[in-house]
Amino acid sequence: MTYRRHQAVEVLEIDGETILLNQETLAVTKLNETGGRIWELLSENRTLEQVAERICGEFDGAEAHRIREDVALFLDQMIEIGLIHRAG
Amino acid sequence: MFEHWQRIGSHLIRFRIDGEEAERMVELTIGDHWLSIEHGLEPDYEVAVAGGFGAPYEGVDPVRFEPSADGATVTVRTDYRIESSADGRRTSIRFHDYFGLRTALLNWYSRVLEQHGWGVIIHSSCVVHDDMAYLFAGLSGAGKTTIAGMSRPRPLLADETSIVEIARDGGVLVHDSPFRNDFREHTAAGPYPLRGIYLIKQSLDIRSRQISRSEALLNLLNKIVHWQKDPLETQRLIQRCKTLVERVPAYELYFQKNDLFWEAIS
Repeated sequence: MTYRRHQAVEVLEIDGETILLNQETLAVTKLNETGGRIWELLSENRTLEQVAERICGEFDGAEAHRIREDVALFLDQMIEIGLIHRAG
Repeated sequence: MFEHWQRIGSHLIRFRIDGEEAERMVELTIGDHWLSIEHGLEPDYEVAVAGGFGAPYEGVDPVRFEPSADGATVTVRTDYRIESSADGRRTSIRFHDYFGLRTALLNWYSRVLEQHGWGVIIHSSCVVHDDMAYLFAGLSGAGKTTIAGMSRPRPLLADETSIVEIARDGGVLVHDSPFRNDFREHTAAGPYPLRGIYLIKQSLDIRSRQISRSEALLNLLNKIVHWQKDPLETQRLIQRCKTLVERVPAYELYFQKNDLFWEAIS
């Protein structure tokens, strides 16, 4: 299964931090550095494994299975607030 | 019909007020610091004000924006009605009571600022210290008025609603706000450059902590005076807030009910 970003989102970058404005609900969400990077990676549809693999390669020292769990949790939370969708 | 002129922010306004009671209510709302204007001068905005509209606001009826064929904007709530021409320069306000008029004027002026991306109105008090403006933002009950009162005799630019200009030259200026609550003295000088934004929290100790710009932005958004009309407008407002926090440092300020917090600031 791949994941995709919600389209109606405006992205604000401040001091390396990412803030997402859902243009439909006007909800504002702040992402940490890793969350911002996952959002960036989802500029094209990717699977959980693809995202986790990229994050694993970019952040030294973390265990792969922990990263996969964290990415999965992040994606679930983002789906819940409507900023990411399952693309099938 | 009474005609009065007032400058709000950098905007010259001509008020045409229908009747003594309406005039009294306008003066209760934005003060009576009327300007003497030379004959022939044109205002930036013209606002006609009359009473006799609607009923008291019960807190349940939302603001409605009604479309109009000629491009005019009509904004209605139980206790006020605002009709502005398509270019926004001419507005007619009808109101029920003080609360209705005050909200209507704030709604109208927030839209004036919106139109030109001039700035924002923030739920905050604002104090002048060493020729710089210090803004204390918080929701109802946070202590904005308390801070304003404890800061005297420093000049006050606002005791609950500050008018902040995001200037084209890269600066941020705070203008004297006529939208006062407890402290109605007018500060004629200014505008003053904004030195810092303080998100206030009453506490048993006194300290301040600089916060990141993103934290500042998230904390400021629910303190902006704004009536959501369409998503594009709200996006532009958020962009202005982003510019604001990029130009001015923001802090959390924990304060006791005395003026010692100034030592934590300056």
